[in-house]
Amino acid sequence: EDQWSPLNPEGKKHYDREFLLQFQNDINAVRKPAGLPDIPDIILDKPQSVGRQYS
Amino acid sequence: MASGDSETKEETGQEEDQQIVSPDQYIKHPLHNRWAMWFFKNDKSKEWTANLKLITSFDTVEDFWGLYNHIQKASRLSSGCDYSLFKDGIQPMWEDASNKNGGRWLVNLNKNQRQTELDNFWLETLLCLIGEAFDDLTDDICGATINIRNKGDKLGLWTRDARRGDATVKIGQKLKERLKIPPKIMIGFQAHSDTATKAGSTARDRYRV
Repeated sequence: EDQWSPLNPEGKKHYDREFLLQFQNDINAVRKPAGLPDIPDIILDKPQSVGRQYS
Repeated sequence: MASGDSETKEETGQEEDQQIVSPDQYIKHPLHNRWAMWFFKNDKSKEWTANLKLITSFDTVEDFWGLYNHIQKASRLSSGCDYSLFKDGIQPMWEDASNKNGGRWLVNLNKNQRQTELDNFWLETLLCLIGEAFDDLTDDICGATINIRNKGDKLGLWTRDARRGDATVKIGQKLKERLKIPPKIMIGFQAHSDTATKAGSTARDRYRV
């Protein structure tokens, strides 16, 4: 398989759904991105899609 | 000489002891394209373009999720609102040079599907776009929109050139497969130029899958 990876930087940047889904709760994905505009209709302060929360 | 030899030995020893940290843990996964997410809210007191707002753009898997996780689900938007995800540089409107000769595959949702299917359909479409599910047809793809409407929500996958029949049909088949739309339910493709001149009624389908 010729998918991009850190060790295969020339690989194709094509990712299937399972591959993409595994990053939904990645540490980089649960932090609110910097610089989002102020649109109260849609912008959330806390991630809503995170599956299991540690308590 | 002697000190040189001992240094070499030390380095070799260190190498063996070192834990190899996987680069996966700190390198974000780059996307083939850079994408921009837009929000439209229908405020009749303003011009159409004033109601269209760029949320942000991103070009890694992790940054996509960061955005997705911090914006409201499509099913919770009020009627008259849209989300759009387009390649960076293409505006989510017919008039854009990349769209004007194009069209869209249209998936109509009924009222019940807003709660059961809409968010899944939209996320699946987003994953198709950013993951390049259309493989070598990526240049045919412009973006996608989800329209929240009381009379029926709509998902559209926008392509660049409505005359490219084979490519358009392949894209429609892939979308239908990824959304798990049953074979007996047909979806249609309309050219923007047909839709624009048919105000109020439905433009004819150029293709169906």
